Amino acid sequence: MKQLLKIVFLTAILIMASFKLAQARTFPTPTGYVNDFANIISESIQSQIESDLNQHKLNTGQEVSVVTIDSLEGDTIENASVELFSQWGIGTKEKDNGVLLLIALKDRKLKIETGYGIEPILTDSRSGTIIRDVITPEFKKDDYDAGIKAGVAAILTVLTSDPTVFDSQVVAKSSDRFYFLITAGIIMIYLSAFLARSKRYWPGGVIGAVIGFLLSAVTGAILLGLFGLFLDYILSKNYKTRVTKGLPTTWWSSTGGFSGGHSSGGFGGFSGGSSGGGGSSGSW
Amino acid sequence: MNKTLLAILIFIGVVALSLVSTYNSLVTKTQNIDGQWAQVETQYQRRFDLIPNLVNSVKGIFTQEQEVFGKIAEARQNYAGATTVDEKAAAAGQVESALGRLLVIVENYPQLQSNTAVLGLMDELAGTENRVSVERKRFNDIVKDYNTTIKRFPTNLIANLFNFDARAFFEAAAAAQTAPTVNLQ
Repeated sequence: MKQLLKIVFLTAILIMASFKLAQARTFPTPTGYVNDFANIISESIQSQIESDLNQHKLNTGQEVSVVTIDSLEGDTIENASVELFSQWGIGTKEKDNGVLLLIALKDRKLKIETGYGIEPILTDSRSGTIIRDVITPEFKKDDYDAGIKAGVAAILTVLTSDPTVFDSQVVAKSSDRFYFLITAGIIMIYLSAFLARSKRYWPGGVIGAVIGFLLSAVTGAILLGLFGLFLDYILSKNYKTRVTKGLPTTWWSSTGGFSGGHSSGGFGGFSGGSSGGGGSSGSW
Repeated sequence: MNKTLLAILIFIGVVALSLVSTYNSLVTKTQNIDGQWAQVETQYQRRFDLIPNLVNSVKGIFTQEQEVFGKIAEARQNYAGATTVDEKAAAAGQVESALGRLLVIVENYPQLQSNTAVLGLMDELAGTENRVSVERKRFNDIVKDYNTTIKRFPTNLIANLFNFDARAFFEAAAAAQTAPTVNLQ
């Protein structure tokens, strides 16, 4: 049953995702803070930078990512980095505190892209200085390891030299979101419990359709209606089987199998930050 | 209860619901467009705040390029006097072409390449130009989305009913499409 639920959820997510994928170029999903798609960083340096960036995230909450790509495929480096930044969502959604160092090997171009929240600290002139004085001199000698390592070190130095600026801008937004999530969660639990006990299949469909209508008119109503119908079917069925088997029917035991494992310690994905084209670019 | 009455009530309920949700989504979209336009203006303002610094630090060196400074000053004045979105966009286009010229000029002055203050300002300016283009592209994207929505059936009926008009795109300034030419002699 858990597996069936997982399959349903994955399909639903895939369907929703397919609506949003009408963008120019899709980048592969990130595997860590360092994504060496062009294969120019040696393994030892890569793991060293990865652990530095991971540590930086734990200390400050800021997400710094290094990405190397083979070619821009005719695009400009400025476009590609904005695109990549928004697709991955580097930095947290509340603080927009992400930094992207993008390197396009064949085009010999690089860019430091800063999230909105980083702009006052890692200013364009600072990132320009890092590119001009720290990274490109090494790149000109074809020493990508040294250039990237020194560049990341310089970025981290700038970011940690005055972290107090950040603390003042934050907090308010995240607490609103927190309460919203809790309220939504409680409503979901009550709805699910009600739907499971109702034994009928259709109320879930009706509720889904109404919510869908409120969210996005006809398409929403159809999608969420079907989803609600399906959910209610499963919940009611699950409730029945559990009752007949004499198993507990509380929320946690009957539907608590949604959340996947969350990796602890290492890279857990980026957190939805956005950028507006700030930063600096250069070539070597 | 009378079954036909019930059916009619349900029908009215459904229509009312869809009316409310469509209306609300249109309101959200127009709000987003206004918000995004504010974002574009923020970047314009940033650009204008940078210009005096840059001009002051290079004016003494560019003895032969006084014309470009005159153009920048003029475009700034036009922007300050602009009230409508269209006027602002036109003035911003003027600034853009003058600044593009200045950027090319600076790149061609070797003695400036070792001046860190000027280099820093040029970085800021280049970053701002990029920000402007990013925010403008996003503005156009959401305007396009909104315009498409209000022209499609059945939303167009509701849009007409409540006077949701199509919004204008931000057109690239004609001057910005041609690369500036520089005469250093």
